[in-house]
Amino acid sequence: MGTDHLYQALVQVTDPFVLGVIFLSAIFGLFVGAVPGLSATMAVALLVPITFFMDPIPAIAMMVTATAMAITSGDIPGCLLRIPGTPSSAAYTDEAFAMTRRGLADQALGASIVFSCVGGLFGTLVLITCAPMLADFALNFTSYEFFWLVVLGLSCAIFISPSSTLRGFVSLLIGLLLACVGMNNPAAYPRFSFGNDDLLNGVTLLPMMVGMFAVSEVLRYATNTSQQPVNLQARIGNIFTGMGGLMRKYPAGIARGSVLGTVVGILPGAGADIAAWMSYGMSKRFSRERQKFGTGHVEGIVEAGAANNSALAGAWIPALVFGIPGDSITAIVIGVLYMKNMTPGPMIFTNSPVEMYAVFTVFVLANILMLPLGYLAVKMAKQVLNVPRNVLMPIILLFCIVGTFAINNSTFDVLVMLVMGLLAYLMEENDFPIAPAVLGVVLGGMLEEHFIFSMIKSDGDLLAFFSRPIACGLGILAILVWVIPLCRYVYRLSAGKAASEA
Amino acid sequence: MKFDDIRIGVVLGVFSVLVFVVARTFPVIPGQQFGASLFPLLISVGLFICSVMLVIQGWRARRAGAERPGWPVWLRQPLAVLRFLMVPLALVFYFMAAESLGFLLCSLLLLVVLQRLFGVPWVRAVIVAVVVTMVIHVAFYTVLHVPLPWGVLEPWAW
Repeated sequence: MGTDHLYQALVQVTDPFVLGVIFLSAIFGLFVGAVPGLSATMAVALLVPITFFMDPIPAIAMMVTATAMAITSGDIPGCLLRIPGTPSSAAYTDEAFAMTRRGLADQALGASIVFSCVGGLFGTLVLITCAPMLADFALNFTSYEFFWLVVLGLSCAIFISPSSTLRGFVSLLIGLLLACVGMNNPAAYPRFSFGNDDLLNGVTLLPMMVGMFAVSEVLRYATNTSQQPVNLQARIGNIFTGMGGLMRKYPAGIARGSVLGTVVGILPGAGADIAAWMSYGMSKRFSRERQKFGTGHVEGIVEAGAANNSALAGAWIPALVFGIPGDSITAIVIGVLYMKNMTPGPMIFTNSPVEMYAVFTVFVLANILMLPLGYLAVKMAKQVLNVPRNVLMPIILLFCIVGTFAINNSTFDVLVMLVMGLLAYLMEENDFPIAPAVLGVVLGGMLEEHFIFSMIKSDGDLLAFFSRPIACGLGILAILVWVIPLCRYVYRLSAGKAASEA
Repeated sequence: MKFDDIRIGVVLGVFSVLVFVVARTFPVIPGQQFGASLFPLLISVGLFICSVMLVIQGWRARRAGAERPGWPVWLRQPLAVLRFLMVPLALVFYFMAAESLGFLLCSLLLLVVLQRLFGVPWVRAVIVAVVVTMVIHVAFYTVLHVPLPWGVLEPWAW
């Protein structure tokens, strides 16, 4: 099958309209990433209404390109102003700014763009090779295996999240509860619909995402509208000078960052930002020049820059193969895939092979486009960073309203967007992470469905969840994920007591 | 808007009890011992446990002398409150007026008002509003064939 589908995918992606869409969404992604406060997730959320009115391939191409660009260009304000453009650049913002102060801004920016491209290509390679294999392997998974996979995914989202486990758990439960609303449950009983017809279909996923990731940002801005004018001092020469040298100097770091990034990306709930933090820490630990970290040393930027872009591609693996989003971006992507009748799951490579090859092609294309467009973005950094936020935010809000309303002409969708925007704003203000809630909403239905069907199949026997070898392995893993932190907690408590008694 | 953990915990606790009470009324699947109520019940119990832990955490923090978060400063600035409220108001306005006024007028009006509230000078606000409205119109209506309403401008539709 392969080559024929690949050829068709190439023909579709190189269609002038699709190429134009890719180019425009690349510019859009670079812009959104470079403006502090607007994240890559928000870029995708804003694209949702547009994807609704497009064919599947340009729609997917848009989302892939915009996110890859946004993650990379988030490094620009981090390097020049010490303000990360997206959360994914936060890990090495201080390092990059220290380099700028030493007059090495061009090297810092060059490294983050070039090694983003390298990391992105690596992640794509893993996606291309592993996703179809994994899908093949998962074809004979039953509801038992899927149940455990979802449990593992949700557990990851809680334990990896940077804020406290308790807050992550609350967020997850809120998401799961939202997923309960409506009739889409195994018993087809209308839950929490209060006699409202719109609520019978549940909380609509896409307006919810637009609310949580875009409207919440406008609300936050409304409470604090201060913006300092930016005056860039740094002189930026040719950012690509000396990149070959870096490539030869840090091959191990680049490989480590790419691998770690891809793996973290695959883990549900953990995306590019966590990949960058972990990889920066790893780089420092294994470096031969550890004392130089923090003083404007390029090594950590090379490694973490590769990590956050490879995470992006990694997150697509569980999203496509199991319908389990690897990060908040792919949670939105899954919503769009459902809308386009491309149900994520092991069958997706059999049912929509051309679209899947198109995803791969666009990933490669976007990562290569990153080099010339990233160069342009750096050149235009001053203008981009001085775009007045008070003009931008009204445009974003209007776009959300018009876009969401246009999808179904439904007042209900717009209300969902507003309520979810308020909820996300309140949660973030109080340090409750959003990612677990999003994962809960996307996976809640799946979790319940697989559980109930398994119980019916096994006639209420819980041991059936361990009756198949793979299900048993996944189940034990899921239980360990919960037991180990508990044991460590108890151990620390008793150790603390012993220490205080001694 | 920050609240301390005790308040968040109490609100979540009450909410979880409500969910529990409502979920108890859901029927089981015929022939099974569980049904639509199982998951909501489990979630509400989980939320209740979390809310108790949040209250304990907040109480400990308060005893340790943690500062209670007061009302945020922006709530005392009428303009900031108005800006915040403009977000829901803009939403309500659009879906009340879109059919009759049409997309073009609604969009122009909303953009100018919002920008003025956020402190953009008149001239810039109007220019941006016109340009953005036209760009969205062309992108959605002309390129993507989205049926944006014309409203009162119907006779001049293109």
